[in-house]
Amino acid sequence: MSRGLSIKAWFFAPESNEALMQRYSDTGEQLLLEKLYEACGEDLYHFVLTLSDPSLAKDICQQTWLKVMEKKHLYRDSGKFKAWLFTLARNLLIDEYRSRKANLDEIDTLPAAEASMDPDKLLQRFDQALLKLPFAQREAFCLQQEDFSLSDIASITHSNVEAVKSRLRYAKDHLRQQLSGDFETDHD
Amino acid sequence: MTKPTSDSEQQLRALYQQRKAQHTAPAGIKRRLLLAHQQQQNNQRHWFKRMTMVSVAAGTLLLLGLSFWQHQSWLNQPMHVAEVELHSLAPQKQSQAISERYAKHYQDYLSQQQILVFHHTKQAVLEHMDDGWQLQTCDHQVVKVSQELVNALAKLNQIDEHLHLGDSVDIAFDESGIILAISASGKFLHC
Repeated sequence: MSRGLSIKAWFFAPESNEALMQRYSDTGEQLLLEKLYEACGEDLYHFVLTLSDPSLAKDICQQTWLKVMEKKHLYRDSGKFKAWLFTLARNLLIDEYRSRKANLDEIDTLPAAEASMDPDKLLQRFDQALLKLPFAQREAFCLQQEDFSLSDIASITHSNVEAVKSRLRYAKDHLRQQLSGDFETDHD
Repeated sequence: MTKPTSDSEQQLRALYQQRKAQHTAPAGIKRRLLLAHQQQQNNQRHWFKRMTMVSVAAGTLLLLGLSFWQHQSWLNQPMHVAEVELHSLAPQKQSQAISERYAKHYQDYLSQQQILVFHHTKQAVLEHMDDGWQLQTCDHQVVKVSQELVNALAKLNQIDEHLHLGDSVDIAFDESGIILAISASGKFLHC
Protein backbone atom coordinates (compact mmCIF):
# COMPACT_ATOMS: atom_id res chain seq x y z
CA MET A 1 0.00 0.00 0.00
CA SER A 2 2.75 2.38 1.02
CA ARG A 3 4.70 1.38 -2.07
CA GLY A 4 1.69 2.25 -4.18
CA LEU A 5 1.49 5.63 -2.53
CA SER A 6 5.16 6.34 -3.05
CA ILE A 7 4.88 5.44 -6.76
CA LYS A 8 1.85 7.70 -7.03
CA ALA A 9 3.78 10.45 -5.25
CA TRP A 10 6.72 9.91 -7.60
CA PHE A 11 4.46 10.30 -10.62
CA PHE A 12 2.38 13.17 -9.31
CA ALA A 13 5.00 15.00 -7.22
CA PRO A 14 5.08 18.70 -8.10
CA GLU A 15 8.09 19.66 -10.16
CA SER A 16 10.73 21.74 -8.37
CA ASN A 17 11.16 25.37 -9.33
CA GLU A 18 14.63 24.56 -10.61
CA ALA A 19 13.31 21.84 -12.92
CA LEU A 20 10.53 24.14 -14.11
CA MET A 21 13.00 26.92 -14.82
CA GLN A 22 15.35 24.56 -16.62
CA ARG A 23 12.51 23.36 -18.81
CA TYR A 24 11.34 26.91 -19.38
CA SER A 25 14.89 27.87 -20.35
CA ASP A 26 14.93 25.04 -22.87
CA THR A 27 11.44 25.34 -24.31
CA GLY A 28 10.18 28.83 -23.50
CA GLU A 29 6.71 27.41 -22.77
CA GLN A 30 4.31 29.94 -21.27
CA LEU A 31 2.74 27.35 -18.99
CA LEU A 32 6.06 26.81 -17.21
CA LEU A 33 6.46 30.54 -16.68
CA GLU A 34 2.97 30.67 -15.20
CA LYS A 35 3.83 27.82 -12.85
CA LEU A 36 6.97 29.61 -11.71
CA TYR A 37 4.98 32.76 -11.09
CA GLU A 38 2.40 30.80 -9.09
CA ALA A 39 5.22 29.32 -7.00
CA CYS A 40 7.22 32.47 -6.28
CA GLY A 41 5.22 35.50 -7.39
CA GLU A 42 3.58 36.25 -4.06
CA ASP A 43 6.76 35.72 -2.02
CA LEU A 44 8.71 38.01 -4.30
CA TYR A 45 6.11 40.74 -4.22
CA HIS A 46 5.89 40.67 -0.43
CA PHE A 47 9.68 40.78 -0.10
CA VAL A 48 10.01 43.77 -2.42
CA LEU A 49 7.00 45.47 -0.85
CA THR A 50 8.56 45.16 2.59
CA LEU A 51 11.65 46.95 1.25
CA SER A 52 9.80 49.61 -0.76
CA ASP A 53 6.25 50.82 -1.41
CA PRO A 54 3.36 49.20 -3.36
CA SER A 55 3.95 51.18 -6.53
CA LEU A 56 7.69 50.55 -6.66
CA ALA A 57 7.20 46.94 -5.59
CA LYS A 58 4.84 46.32 -8.49
CA ASP A 59 7.24 47.95 -10.91
CA ILE A 60 10.26 46.05 -9.61
CA CYS A 61 8.38 42.74 -9.68
CA GLN A 62 7.31 43.30 -13.26
CA GLN A 63 10.87 44.12 -14.27
CA THR A 64 12.17 41.08 -12.42
CA TRP A 65 9.79 38.68 -14.14
CA LEU A 66 10.53 40.24 -17.51
CA LYS A 67 14.19 39.69 -16.80
CA VAL A 68 13.50 36.04 -15.97
CA MET A 69 11.79 35.76 -19.32
CA GLU A 70 14.48 37.55 -21.30
CA LYS A 71 17.50 36.10 -19.52
CA LYS A 72 16.21 32.57 -19.17
CA HIS A 73 19.19 31.24 -21.11
CA LEU A 74 21.48 32.63 -18.39
CA TYR A 75 19.88 30.51 -15.68
CA ARG A 76 21.95 27.53 -14.65
CA ASP A 77 20.69 24.61 -12.65
CA SER A 78 23.50 25.07 -10.13
CA GLY A 79 21.51 27.27 -7.75
CA LYS A 80 18.02 27.69 -6.39
CA PHE A 81 15.64 29.41 -8.73
CA LYS A 82 14.05 31.41 -5.93
CA ALA A 83 17.43 32.72 -4.78
CA TRP A 84 18.23 33.76 -8.35
CA LEU A 85 14.84 35.45 -8.65
CA PHE A 86 15.22 37.34 -5.35
CA THR A 87 18.77 38.38 -6.31
CA LEU A 88 17.47 39.84 -9.58
CA ALA A 89 14.73 41.72 -7.75
CA ARG A 90 17.00 42.99 -5.02
CA ASN A 91 19.58 44.21 -7.58
CA LEU A 92 16.86 46.02 -9.51
CA LEU A 93 15.56 47.62 -6.34
CA ILE A 94 19.00 48.80 -5.26
CA ASP A 95 19.63 50.15 -8.79
CA GLU A 96 16.34 52.00 -8.60
CA TYR A 97 17.24 53.54 -5.26
CA ARG A 98 20.65 54.50 -6.61
CA SER A 99 19.09 56.11 -9.70
CA ARG A 100 16.90 58.14 -7.37
CA LYS A 101 20.04 58.91 -5.38
CA ALA A 102 18.27 57.78 -2.29
CA ASN A 103 20.34 56.80 0.71
CA LEU A 104 19.42 53.41 2.10
CA ASP A 105 19.43 54.97 5.56
CA GLU A 106 16.61 57.24 4.44
CA ILE A 107 14.48 54.31 3.41
CA ASP A 108 15.26 52.37 6.53
CA THR A 109 11.89 53.19 7.92
CA LEU A 110 8.91 53.13 5.62
CA PRO A 111 5.43 54.41 6.43
CA ALA A 112 3.09 51.58 7.32
CA ALA A 113 0.33 52.80 5.07
CA GLU A 114 -1.97 49.87 5.30
CA ALA A 115 -1.16 48.95 8.85
CA SER A 116 -3.72 51.29 10.33
CA MET A 117 -6.44 49.42 8.51
CA ASP A 118 -5.43 46.15 10.12
CA PRO A 119 -7.95 45.13 12.77
CA ASP A 120 -5.51 42.80 14.41
CA LYS A 121 -3.43 44.85 16.81
CA LEU A 122 -0.60 42.36 17.06
CA LEU A 123 -0.22 42.18 13.33
CA GLN A 124 -0.40 45.96 13.17
CA ARG A 125 2.38 46.29 15.72
CA PHE A 126 4.44 43.65 13.92
CA ASP A 127 3.98 45.52 10.68
CA GLN A 128 5.09 48.78 12.22
CA ALA A 129 8.03 47.16 13.98
CA LEU A 130 9.15 45.41 10.79
CA LEU A 131 9.02 48.60 8.75
CA LYS A 132 11.01 50.43 11.41
CA LEU A 133 13.89 48.00 11.02
CA PRO A 134 16.97 49.25 9.13
CA PHE A 135 16.98 48.20 5.47
CA ALA A 136 19.72 45.56 5.79
CA GLN A 137 18.10 43.95 8.88
CA ARG A 138 14.67 44.01 7.28
CA GLU A 139 15.81 42.30 4.10
CA ALA A 140 17.80 39.71 6.05
CA PHE A 141 14.76 38.96 8.25
CA CYS A 142 12.40 38.69 5.26
CA LEU A 143 14.76 36.41 3.39
CA GLN A 144 15.06 34.13 6.39
CA GLN A 145 11.29 33.98 6.66
CA GLU A 146 11.29 32.93 3.00
CA ASP A 147 13.33 29.89 4.07
CA PHE A 148 16.63 30.99 2.61
CA SER A 149 19.75 29.69 4.34
CA LEU A 150 22.33 32.04 5.80
CA SER A 151 24.63 31.51 2.84
CA ASP A 152 21.76 32.16 0.45
CA ILE A 153 20.94 35.41 2.24
CA ALA A 154 24.60 36.42 2.17
CA SER A 155 24.70 35.70 -1.55
CA ILE A 156 21.49 37.59 -2.34
CA THR A 157 22.49 40.64 -0.29
CA HIS A 158 26.14 40.54 -1.42
CA SER A 159 27.45 40.32 2.13
CA ASN A 160 29.06 37.71 4.34
CA VAL A 161 27.40 35.16 6.60
CA GLU A 162 28.60 36.78 9.83
CA ALA A 163 27.08 40.11 8.83
CA VAL A 164 23.83 38.33 8.01
CA LYS A 165 23.80 36.58 11.37
CA SER A 166 24.35 39.87 13.13
CA ARG A 167 21.57 41.58 11.19
CA LEU A 168 19.17 38.77 11.90
CA ARG A 169 19.95 38.84 15.60
CA TYR A 170 19.39 42.59 15.81
CA ALA A 171 16.22 42.38 13.72
CA LYS A 172 14.66 39.66 15.82
CA ASP A 173 15.66 41.31 19.07
CA HIS A 174 14.05 44.51 17.89
CA LEU A 175 10.85 42.78 16.83
CA ARG A 176 10.62 40.83 20.05
CA GLN A 177 11.19 44.01 22.00
CA GLN A 178 8.45 45.80 20.11
CA LEU A 179 6.07 42.90 20.55
CA SER A 180 7.20 41.94 24.05
CA GLY A 181 3.82 42.57 25.58
CA ASP A 182 2.06 40.34 23.11
CA PHE A 183 4.53 37.47 22.96
CA GLU A 184 4.26 34.54 25.32
CA THR A 185 7.91 34.51 26.19
CA ASP A 186 10.07 33.35 29.00
CA HIS A 187 11.50 36.24 31.00
CA ASP A 188 14.87 36.25 32.73
CA MET B 1 14.57 41.89 27.62
CA THR B 2 12.87 39.03 25.83
CA LYS B 3 14.75 35.82 25.36
CA PRO B 4 14.85 34.33 21.86
CA THR B 5 12.95 31.10 21.98
CA SER B 6 11.58 28.79 19.37
CA ASP B 7 8.11 29.98 20.38
CA SER B 8 8.91 33.57 19.57
CA GLU B 9 10.51 32.45 16.33
CA GLN B 10 7.33 30.64 15.44
CA GLN B 11 5.22 33.65 16.42
CA LEU B 12 7.35 35.93 14.25
CA ARG B 13 7.05 33.46 11.39
CA ALA B 14 3.29 33.25 11.83
CA LEU B 15 3.00 37.04 11.87
CA TYR B 16 5.17 37.31 8.78
CA GLN B 17 2.97 34.79 6.96
CA GLN B 18 -0.18 36.65 8.06
CA ARG B 19 1.31 39.88 6.80
CA LYS B 20 2.20 38.24 3.48
CA ALA B 21 -1.31 36.90 3.11
CA GLN B 22 -2.64 40.42 3.51
CA HIS B 23 -0.40 41.88 0.82
CA THR B 24 -1.09 39.90 -2.28
CA ALA B 25 0.59 40.75 -5.54
CA PRO B 26 -1.47 42.82 -7.96
CA ALA B 27 -2.91 40.75 -10.80
CA GLY B 28 -1.46 43.27 -13.23
CA ILE B 29 2.05 41.88 -12.73
CA LYS B 30 1.11 38.44 -13.99
CA ARG B 31 -1.09 39.85 -16.74
CA ARG B 32 1.68 42.06 -18.06
CA LEU B 33 4.20 39.24 -17.80
CA LEU B 34 2.07 36.88 -19.87
CA LEU B 35 1.38 39.61 -22.40
CA ALA B 36 5.09 40.32 -22.74
CA HIS B 37 5.75 36.61 -23.08
CA GLN B 38 3.22 36.30 -25.90
CA GLN B 39 4.73 39.31 -27.64
CA GLN B 40 8.17 37.79 -27.36
CA GLN B 41 6.90 34.52 -28.78
CA ASN B 42 5.22 36.35 -31.65
CA ASN B 43 8.41 38.29 -32.32
CA GLN B 44 10.40 35.09 -32.34
CA ARG B 45 7.89 33.45 -34.69
CA HIS B 46 7.95 36.51 -36.91
CA TRP B 47 11.74 36.55 -36.87
CA PHE B 48 11.85 32.84 -37.66
CA LYS B 49 9.40 33.28 -40.51
CA ARG B 50 11.42 36.16 -41.84
CA MET B 51 14.66 34.23 -41.59
CA THR B 52 13.06 31.30 -43.40
CA MET B 53 11.93 33.57 -46.20
CA VAL B 54 15.35 35.21 -46.43
CA SER B 55 17.02 31.79 -46.47
CA VAL B 56 14.73 30.54 -49.23
CA ALA B 57 15.30 33.71 -51.25
CA ALA B 58 19.06 33.49 -50.77
CA GLY B 59 19.03 29.81 -51.72
CA THR B 60 17.04 30.51 -54.86
CA LEU B 61 19.37 33.34 -55.84
CA LEU B 62 22.37 31.13 -55.23
CA LEU B 63 20.87 28.36 -57.34
CA LEU B 64 20.07 30.77 -60.15
CA GLY B 65 23.56 32.26 -59.94
CA LEU B 66 25.16 28.83 -60.04
CA SER B 67 23.11 27.69 -63.02
CA PHE B 68 23.85 30.94 -64.86
CA TRP B 69 27.55 30.62 -64.11
CA GLN B 70 27.56 27.03 -65.31
CA HIS B 71 25.79 28.04 -68.50
CA GLN B 72 28.31 30.84 -69.08
CA SER B 73 31.29 28.60 -68.42
CA TRP B 74 29.85 26.02 -70.83
CA LEU B 75 29.55 28.69 -73.50
CA ASN B 76 33.08 29.98 -72.91
CA GLN B 77 34.63 26.53 -72.80
CA PRO B 78 37.50 26.25 -75.34
CA MET B 79 36.55 23.89 -78.20
CA HIS B 80 38.94 20.99 -78.64
CA VAL B 81 38.71 20.88 -82.42
CA ALA B 82 41.70 20.19 -84.62
CA GLU B 83 41.96 22.63 -87.50
CA VAL B 84 42.51 20.91 -90.79
CA GLU B 85 43.70 22.97 -93.69
CA LEU B 86 42.51 21.68 -97.01
CA HIS B 87 45.22 22.42 -99.55
CA SER B 88 42.84 22.23 -102.40
CA LEU B 89 41.03 25.17 -100.89
CA ALA B 90 44.22 27.12 -100.17
CA PRO B 91 44.76 30.30 -102.22
CA GLN B 92 45.93 29.74 -105.78
CA LYS B 93 48.90 32.06 -105.35
CA GLN B 94 50.47 30.02 -102.55
CA SER B 95 50.02 26.78 -104.45
CA GLN B 96 51.74 28.26 -107.46
CA ALA B 97 54.72 29.39 -105.37
CA ILE B 98 55.12 25.91 -103.97
CA SER B 99 54.95 24.46 -107.44
CA GLU B 100 57.63 26.87 -108.65
CA ARG B 101 59.91 25.99 -105.72
CA TYR B 102 59.38 22.32 -106.38
CA ALA B 103 60.21 22.78 -110.06
CA LYS B 104 63.42 24.64 -109.22
CA HIS B 105 64.53 21.95 -106.79
CA TYR B 106 63.76 19.34 -109.37
CA GLN B 107 65.90 21.17 -111.95
CA ASP B 108 68.76 21.35 -109.45
CA TYR B 109 68.38 17.66 -108.81
CA LEU B 110 68.56 16.89 -112.52
CA SER B 111 71.67 19.07 -112.98
CA GLN B 112 73.27 17.31 -109.98
CA GLN B 113 72.39 14.01 -111.59
CA GLN B 114 74.18 15.20 -114.71
CA ILE B 115 77.23 16.05 -112.70
CA LEU B 116 77.22 12.80 -110.82
CA VAL B 117 76.93 10.57 -113.84
CA PHE B 118 79.61 7.98 -113.45
CA HIS B 119 81.88 7.59 -116.40
CA HIS B 120 83.78 4.54 -115.30
CA THR B 121 84.64 2.58 -112.16
CA LYS B 122 87.75 0.93 -110.92
CA GLN B 123 88.10 -1.82 -108.39
CA ALA B 124 90.70 -1.34 -105.64
CA VAL B 125 91.66 -2.48 -102.14
CA LEU B 126 91.43 -0.14 -99.19
CA GLU B 127 94.94 -0.03 -97.75
CA HIS B 128 95.05 2.91 -95.47
CA MET B 129 92.38 4.96 -93.63
CA ASP B 130 94.27 7.38 -91.37
CA ASP B 131 94.31 11.01 -92.49
CA GLY B 132 92.74 10.27 -95.86
CA TRP B 133 92.29 6.98 -97.61
CA GLN B 134 94.75 5.07 -99.73
CA LEU B 135 93.53 2.62 -102.35
CA GLN B 136 95.51 0.31 -104.64
CA THR B 137 94.32 -1.16 -107.87
CA CYS B 138 95.48 -4.38 -109.46
CA ASP B 139 97.77 -2.55 -111.82
CA HIS B 140 99.60 -1.19 -108.70
CA GLN B 141 98.14 2.21 -109.13
CA VAL B 142 97.80 3.98 -105.78
CA VAL B 143 94.92 6.35 -105.37
CA LYS B 144 95.18 8.74 -102.47
CA VAL B 145 91.93 10.34 -101.29
CA SER B 146 92.34 13.30 -98.99
CA GLN B 147 90.36 13.47 -95.73
CA GLU B 148 88.51 16.54 -97.04
CA LEU B 149 87.29 14.60 -100.04
CA VAL B 150 86.30 11.66 -97.85
CA ASN B 151 84.28 14.03 -95.67
CA ALA B 152 82.70 15.74 -98.73
CA LEU B 153 81.71 12.42 -100.25
CA ALA B 154 80.34 11.24 -96.89
CA LYS B 155 78.14 14.33 -96.73
CA LEU B 156 76.77 13.47 -100.18
CA ASN B 157 76.26 9.84 -99.10
CA GLN B 158 78.61 8.83 -101.87
CA ILE B 159 80.96 6.89 -99.67
CA ASP B 160 80.41 3.73 -97.73
CA GLU B 161 81.33 4.53 -94.15
CA HIS B 162 81.32 0.92 -93.01
CA LEU B 163 84.38 0.00 -94.96
CA HIS B 164 87.40 -1.57 -93.27
CA LEU B 165 91.02 -1.96 -94.19
CA GLY B 166 91.50 -4.65 -96.82
CA ASP B 167 87.97 -4.38 -98.20
CA SER B 168 87.46 -4.37 -101.93
CA VAL B 169 85.86 -1.19 -103.13
CA ASP B 170 84.55 0.27 -106.37
CA ILE B 171 85.86 3.75 -107.18
CA ALA B 172 83.51 5.69 -109.46
CA PHE B 173 85.06 8.40 -111.69
CA ASP B 174 83.40 10.96 -113.91
CA GLU B 175 84.38 11.90 -117.39
CA SER B 176 87.30 14.05 -116.26
CA GLY B 177 88.62 11.47 -113.76
CA ILE B 178 87.22 13.04 -110.61
CA ILE B 179 86.21 10.55 -107.92
CA LEU B 180 82.46 10.63 -107.44
CA ALA B 181 81.87 7.73 -105.07
CA ILE B 182 83.56 4.92 -103.21
CA SER B 183 81.43 1.94 -102.33
CA ALA B 184 81.96 -1.61 -101.14
CA SER B 185 82.49 -3.95 -104.04
CA GLY B 186 80.37 -7.02 -104.41
CA LYS B 187 83.30 -9.02 -105.80
CA PHE B 188 86.52 -9.78 -104.06
CA LEU B 189 89.53 -8.34 -105.92
CA HIS B 190 91.90 -10.91 -107.41
CA CYS B 191 94.96 -9.48 -109.11
